[in-house]
Amino acid sequence: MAWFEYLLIPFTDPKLFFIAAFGTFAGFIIGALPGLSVTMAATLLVSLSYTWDTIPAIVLIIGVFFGGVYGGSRSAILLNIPGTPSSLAATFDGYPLAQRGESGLAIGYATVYSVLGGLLGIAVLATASPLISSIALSFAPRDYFLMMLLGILVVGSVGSKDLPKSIFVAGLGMIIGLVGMDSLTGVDRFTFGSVELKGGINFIACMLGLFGLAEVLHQLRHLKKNRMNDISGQFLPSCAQFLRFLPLSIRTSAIGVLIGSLPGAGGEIASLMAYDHAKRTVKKPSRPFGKGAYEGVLAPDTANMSAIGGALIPMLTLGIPGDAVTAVILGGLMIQGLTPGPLLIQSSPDLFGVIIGAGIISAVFVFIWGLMGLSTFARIVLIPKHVLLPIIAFLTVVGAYAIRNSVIDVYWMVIFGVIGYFMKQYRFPTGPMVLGMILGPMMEGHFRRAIMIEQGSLLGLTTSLFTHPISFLLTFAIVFTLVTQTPWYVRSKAKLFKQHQRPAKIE
Amino acid sequence: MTASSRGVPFLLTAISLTILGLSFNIEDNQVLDPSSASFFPALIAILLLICSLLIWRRKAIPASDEKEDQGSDEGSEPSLPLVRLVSFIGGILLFAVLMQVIHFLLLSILYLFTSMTILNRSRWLTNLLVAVITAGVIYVLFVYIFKIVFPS
Repeated sequence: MAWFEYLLIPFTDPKLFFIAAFGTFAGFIIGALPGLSVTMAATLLVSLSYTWDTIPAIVLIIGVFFGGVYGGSRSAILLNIPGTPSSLAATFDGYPLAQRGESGLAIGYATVYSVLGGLLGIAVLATASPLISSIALSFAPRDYFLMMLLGILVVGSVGSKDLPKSIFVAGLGMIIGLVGMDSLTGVDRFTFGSVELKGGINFIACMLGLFGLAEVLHQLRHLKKNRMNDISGQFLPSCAQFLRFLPLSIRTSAIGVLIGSLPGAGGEIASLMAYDHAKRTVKKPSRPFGKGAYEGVLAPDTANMSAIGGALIPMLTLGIPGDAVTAVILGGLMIQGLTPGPLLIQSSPDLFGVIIGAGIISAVFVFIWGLMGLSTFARIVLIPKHVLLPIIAFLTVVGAYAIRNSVIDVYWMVIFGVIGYFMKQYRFPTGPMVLGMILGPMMEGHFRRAIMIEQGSLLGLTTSLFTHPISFLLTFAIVFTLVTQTPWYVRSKAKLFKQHQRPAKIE
Repeated sequence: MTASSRGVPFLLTAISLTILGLSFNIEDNQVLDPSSASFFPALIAILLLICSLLIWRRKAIPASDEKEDQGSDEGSEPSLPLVRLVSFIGGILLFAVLMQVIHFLLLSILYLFTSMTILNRSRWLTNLLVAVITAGVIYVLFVYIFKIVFPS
């Protein structure tokens, strides 16, 4: 528990406190703007805070993470457009509530329970991470390799409808991550003799292109102005209402943390699952679901926010990013010379303590920013696209330049922006590419170390997958993930469900 | 499937084969040695090739425009005109090149005003005002808070 004494640093240091508050505000604004993602904001800030010390930089990003995830529900309620993909479920009942003239209360519910979800997620992060880290210390290189492989496969199978497309994109990301000089043998790979490419392609520039510029180019298709419902009605739920929905919110927070901690699943799936859970378990909702039920607003919002703490668990304890935002944070930590993994909490307890502290401050500021000046901040979601998009494009250019004060990174950003645009056009997911870029070199390192332990024998490595319990479990999970994607499994599952449903129909 | 979406599996296969070829040509490395620098890239290239063949087989490349065309006309998303796409990217590249020649603040105002006006010509005065204020605020933020050193 060495990290515990550092928990209060962001509370006692005015600079860090202000950065956390500012980050939450900036994230809230970006998250509330339809089309601008939290990933884009985090990537921009990682590049811009490159010259900062690690602690302020990570506090800023944590603030943006919290603010951005929460901000997404604002436009979902007021415009029926989710500000971020993870706030899609907030449109189901949030917008109908706004149409009934209760937008104030919808925002109030979303805010109060978001704070609760965020704090519960952070509590789980604080308690589970040291435990998982100590278990992970016994992992061998082959286990890390298997876990990263599993992470990519799960991203492909859960995050996208088409596994081959996701794996292709992740594989391409890995190859991009391998460009440059090989760290073990010193030979050049995929450099075509270029000195510039010897040091590799900067993945932050790639991310700015994939998540920033590509999004701007995609958004250029819709320049229409949005129409918004006015904010009206009561803002805060009463104490009795709060207590009434407390058990549901705790259950949905647990769903959020659990789903968030699975690599690739993230808030998007967590909020949809929480909404589904609320629909199935609440027998007497305040109104029918889909027509403005309060339960339909608070369930996805709590899960969405608690998923933040969940997503940070595998990133901090195993060095495996749970989603695109945590991949960006991982990249940011690596830039700062840190190696996320089981040793992080032991070697940098201050960083872990500050992350927890910053998370608590950010959750509190979600409450403050969320309920302050509601009508004024609500207008932000109406900023016209012809003003917003050039500003974002401009920020991506400066962000790419700021990484190494080099125009070359701007060119890489533009190239990946165009690639990302066409990937969106042809429905290829961009998240696995970023995961591949970051995990690729790490995976290769672990793979080669595992091979060397087995005296260079591929057969020896294959055998060890079945003779060591952790490796066996991971191998089983990988095989199972692959099997679930086969047409045979899909057909069998459909048949089984049909058989289960038949008697119910007869009744 | 449109002609452009039919070309995608070809492109993916070509990329996979190119990466495989390049993996075989990595200097002083045996592709069959699992601990060499070329084994892992070659393994990924084979995986890419399998995936591209699976994508080909599934014909799972519906371009978003194509899917929208198949849907009802009402509410379908407009496609981005190529001229707007190219001019927007060209503008960004020009900005990057001119960063080393023209003062950053002046260039930012010029860039923001031009791109805002291209996207909405009717409000040039508002665009100019927004461009000046935004560029000023961002300049101060970048130079004094984020400590970014601009080339000019």
